[in-house]
Amino acid sequence: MSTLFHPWAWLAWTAGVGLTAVLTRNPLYLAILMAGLLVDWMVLSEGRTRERPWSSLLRVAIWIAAISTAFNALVVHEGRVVLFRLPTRWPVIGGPITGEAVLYGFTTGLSLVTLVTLFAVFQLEMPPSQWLRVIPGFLYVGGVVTAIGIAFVPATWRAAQDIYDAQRLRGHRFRRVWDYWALVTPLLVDSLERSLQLAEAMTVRGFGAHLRPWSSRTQVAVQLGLWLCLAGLASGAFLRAYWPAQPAGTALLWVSSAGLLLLFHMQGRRVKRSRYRRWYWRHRDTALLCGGILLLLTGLGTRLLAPHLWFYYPYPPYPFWPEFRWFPGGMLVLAALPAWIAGISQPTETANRLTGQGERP
Amino acid sequence: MWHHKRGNLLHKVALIALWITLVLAIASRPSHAQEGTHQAGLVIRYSDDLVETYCVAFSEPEISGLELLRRSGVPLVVDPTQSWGVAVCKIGEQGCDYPSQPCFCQCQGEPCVYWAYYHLKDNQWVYSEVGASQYMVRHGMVEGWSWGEGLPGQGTPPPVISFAQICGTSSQETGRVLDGETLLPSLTNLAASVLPFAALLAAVLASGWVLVRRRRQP
Repeated sequence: MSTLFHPWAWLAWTAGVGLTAVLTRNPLYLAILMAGLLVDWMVLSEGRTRERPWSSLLRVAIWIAAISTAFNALVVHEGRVVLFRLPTRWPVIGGPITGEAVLYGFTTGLSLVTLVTLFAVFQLEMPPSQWLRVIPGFLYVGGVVTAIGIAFVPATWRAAQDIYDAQRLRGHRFRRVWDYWALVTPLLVDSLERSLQLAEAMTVRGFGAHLRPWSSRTQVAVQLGLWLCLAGLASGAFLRAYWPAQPAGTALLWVSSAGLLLLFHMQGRRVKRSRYRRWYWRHRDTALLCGGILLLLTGLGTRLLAPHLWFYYPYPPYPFWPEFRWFPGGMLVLAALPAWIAGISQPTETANRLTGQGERP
Repeated sequence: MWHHKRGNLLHKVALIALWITLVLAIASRPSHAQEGTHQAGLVIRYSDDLVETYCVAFSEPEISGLELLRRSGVPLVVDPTQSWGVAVCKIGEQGCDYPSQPCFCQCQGEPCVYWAYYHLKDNQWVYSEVGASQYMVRHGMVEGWSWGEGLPGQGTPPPVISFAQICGTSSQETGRVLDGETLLPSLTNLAASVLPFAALLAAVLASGWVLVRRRRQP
């Protein structure tokens, strides 16, 4: 499948949006990000049919957000803006239902939906083949698993829809919960079959046979090093948590991290990879990269220099209403940058992308 | 099909707008200061040298320990997301600025300094076995909060001060619910925050609408 953007530019933009979405809990900023991502979704998924499962996932995410709002409102009875009261004799949910709890639950849900939407938009321009190629060598196996995992959700959804239609054509009616066993069992069998087919295909294509040989001594040394570094990381984290004033924990964390990076680098050099198609860097990739870097700088810069701008917490003693400022709020419209660039690239390039034509060899 | 989907979307948007309006309308309703007929004592120990007492009045038969603390009028930072209830992170100027810091920011190992919660029973402080949001306070009871070193299950108890000593004179009485007006920003402040946001949001969505329309044109 042909894509509009260079994978590295696309990754930079995704990192920028993801970082800002994780750093802020302000619902106004999250809403701007969400609006930008929705615009991306509408424009980039135009003319594609395989993204339908992701739109279903988005619907699920919206439901989860609604449940998160209701759950927080019913369980957390803290705040000054009392909307109404439930009898205190009711376990867990009894007590005041506050505006703060509603707003905080909504913000948590919005944050989750924003991240799910970002992931849905990300996969529009990052098919599994590209995803595998950008993953560092030492993570190659993990990358394959991730790619299979990403492809598994829409594939399973499509299979579920096919089985559902087939069962209905045979006269089966889905009325009660246990009627869905007629859907679950074939779906499970289908998933297992697909897994076996995939495993056979990967074996036939020589998956796992592309590693440069290591001597048994090197192999043992690397394995031992990995275990030592991981143990060092765990011990460092423990020491840092229980004796924060002591520098030993921090030092151990740094040393173990450096050791892990070195071992990963060694493992990455062991993997032989062949690439048959070149990726071309175009002006639109530069624009997208700049947008991603701006978002990253905004996110990190604000976090380090003026963290109060990202901060939002509706419970006392902080203000109930979120505050909006042109900076960093104005920068967040860059979340819609891919859609704008795709709009400018019309009609020839985008049409070529959709039909898979016009790509350089 | 498309019209049906658009109709559904409009329906959902209208429902969300209705919900937000309802929330705003209820949230905007000012609450009034309550006249208390019951009283409970509150002792807050910030350090060995600084101990404050409050006689808090309330009209209900019983209120939670957290509500009592809140009605004393002392600035409070709490973490309501704990699995066991609401944790008190900061009272006055003493404690941790949750969520910028962990609620138990000075109890991440040893020494462990935090706000310990006590009930005065038989002229002795008893460490609370439940959170302040779950413990119910009635007339004549005395509650204690103490900032000091301890462990989960034990802390530094505040000095013993009886209910009669705290609520002996009516001039000490406190007990108020924050007015609704203080919670909501003025219209000017609200407009200063909401208008730029609305303008930006509308611009982003409008750009999306234009782009989609452009792409759908043959």
